[in-house]
Amino acid sequence: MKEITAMSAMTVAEKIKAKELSVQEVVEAQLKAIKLREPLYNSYITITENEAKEQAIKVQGQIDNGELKDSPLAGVPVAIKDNICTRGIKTTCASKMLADFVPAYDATVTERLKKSGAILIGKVNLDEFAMGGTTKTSYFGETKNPWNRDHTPGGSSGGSSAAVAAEEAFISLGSDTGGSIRQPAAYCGLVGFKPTYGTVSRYGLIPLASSLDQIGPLGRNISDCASILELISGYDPKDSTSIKQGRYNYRSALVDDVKNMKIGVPKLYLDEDLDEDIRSCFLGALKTFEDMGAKVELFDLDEIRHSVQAYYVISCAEASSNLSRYDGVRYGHRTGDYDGLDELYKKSRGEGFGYEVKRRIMLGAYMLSSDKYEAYYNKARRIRTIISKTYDEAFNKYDILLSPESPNTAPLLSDDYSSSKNKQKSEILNVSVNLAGLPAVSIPCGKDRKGLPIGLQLIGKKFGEKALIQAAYSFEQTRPYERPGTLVN
Amino acid sequence: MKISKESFHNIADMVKLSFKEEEKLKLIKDLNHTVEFIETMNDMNTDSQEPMSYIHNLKNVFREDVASNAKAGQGLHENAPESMSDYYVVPPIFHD
Repeated sequence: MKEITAMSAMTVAEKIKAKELSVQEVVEAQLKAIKLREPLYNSYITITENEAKEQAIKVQGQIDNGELKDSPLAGVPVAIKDNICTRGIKTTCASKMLADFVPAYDATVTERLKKSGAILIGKVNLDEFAMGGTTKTSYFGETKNPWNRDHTPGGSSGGSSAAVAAEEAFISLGSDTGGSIRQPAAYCGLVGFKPTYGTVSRYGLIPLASSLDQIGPLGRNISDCASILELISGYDPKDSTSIKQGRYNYRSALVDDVKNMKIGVPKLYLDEDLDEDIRSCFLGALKTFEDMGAKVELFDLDEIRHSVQAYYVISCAEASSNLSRYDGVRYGHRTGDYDGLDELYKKSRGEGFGYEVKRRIMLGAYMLSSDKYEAYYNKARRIRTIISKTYDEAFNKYDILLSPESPNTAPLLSDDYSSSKNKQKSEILNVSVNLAGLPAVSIPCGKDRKGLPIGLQLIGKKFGEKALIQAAYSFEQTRPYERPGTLVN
Repeated sequence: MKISKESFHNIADMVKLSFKEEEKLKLIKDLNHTVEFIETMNDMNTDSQEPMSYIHNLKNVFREDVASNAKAGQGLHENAPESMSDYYVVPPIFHD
């Protein structure tokens, strides 16, 4: 039999159902792989070994009773990004500020996964407060890419991507504010799904930018992602921005058929300064869709060209407001030496936050100050309106849009990524999707000459998840999942 | 330079952040660089556009006022750096 941890989440769930594997066996195999590989990759901040073992016994009982017969992932170990609250288990946001924070409640997604019999195996690394694209700003050290340890796994959900690629988890949850699920998925050769804003409850997700954040899965194939998405989606009275929809039977869209599907390719993306390997892989992917019967057409989407600027303003403004809650009083780091309340605030925050977090708070506060508000914040929000309308118009013509996920493959960890030109380019491909609240998925579409994975981004209209799943599934049939060749056993 | 040392201090004071000296210099440079980039958005005419807050048209959500989650507050104090029974402890705010 194939190594347990190398199987897809769905395959393992089916084997557990068929009694070919027990939940305990699967959890033990997963913990063994984590112990073996974690020193190499540093995907996890917290490994919940004891809780997972206890949960395994409980879930096996529920499966034996027939209680979980309709749950697609019962008994499957799942890793959760460490900015999603887990009751009684540290949730750090990879920050010194929350290094010892233990939530008194579960996020709605955590609660839903537990109810469906998924096993929480650990909390995975990220950039501090999800601000970054490399995990390099994590207080707990950087994560390494399982395809090549000298390279970043991407970010901010870099622990989520590395854990799944290194087979230290079958599937994981990440969060996406400006590409933080899709980019790490692309860098690690995985599927990363960012749902329509409002599809998955944000209750218990420690906020970065509330109007942009969405939780979603990273997995080794689209079927695994569709399954877990079905479990975590749905209206939640605890999140006033969650949307009431009908059924979320995403698995029904796992159909190999893109005949006559209308696919738009924004020229703007092709004009970008793409790596040569990415360009040829992307053009190859377009040809694959055409060969499968889809109608692929280039079109102009120039109106989104200022997405990155608008994103910087809006996300930093919201972040500066959201992060005002860390005051050294109710939770989080408190400085040891202070004179009066004002100094307690300033020193606690000054010590607790890293450079990038402070940079964004400062920028956001500047943009929101009364004499700058109209020129920056409102200007950005007006541009956001244009971006949203532009996409709506595009979807009058096309079923889905295609773009490269990133103009480059995973950079070296030693690169000064924060100041590189590539960062800005990478964000153009990602942030406009969040500003318009659209669903998008990154799927593997090849490798560059260094052997690093390349991602293809599929963008859908609001609540158009099923078209994305169908297109991703069809493409996947031509290109089955490939694991990193370097994994130690 | 849009953000001078003085305006940097004002903002830092407003958002309650302390900085090391070398951090300040780097950040002032960084912020000005970013603001300069952001201003390139000004070439887009947005006069007829309304500012967007959320992508869905949010309406107030009402429900019956039924008490629930009675235990929601429990355990929250355990994360406080300093607390006493049900209270958070802070340094004195009023002085003689």
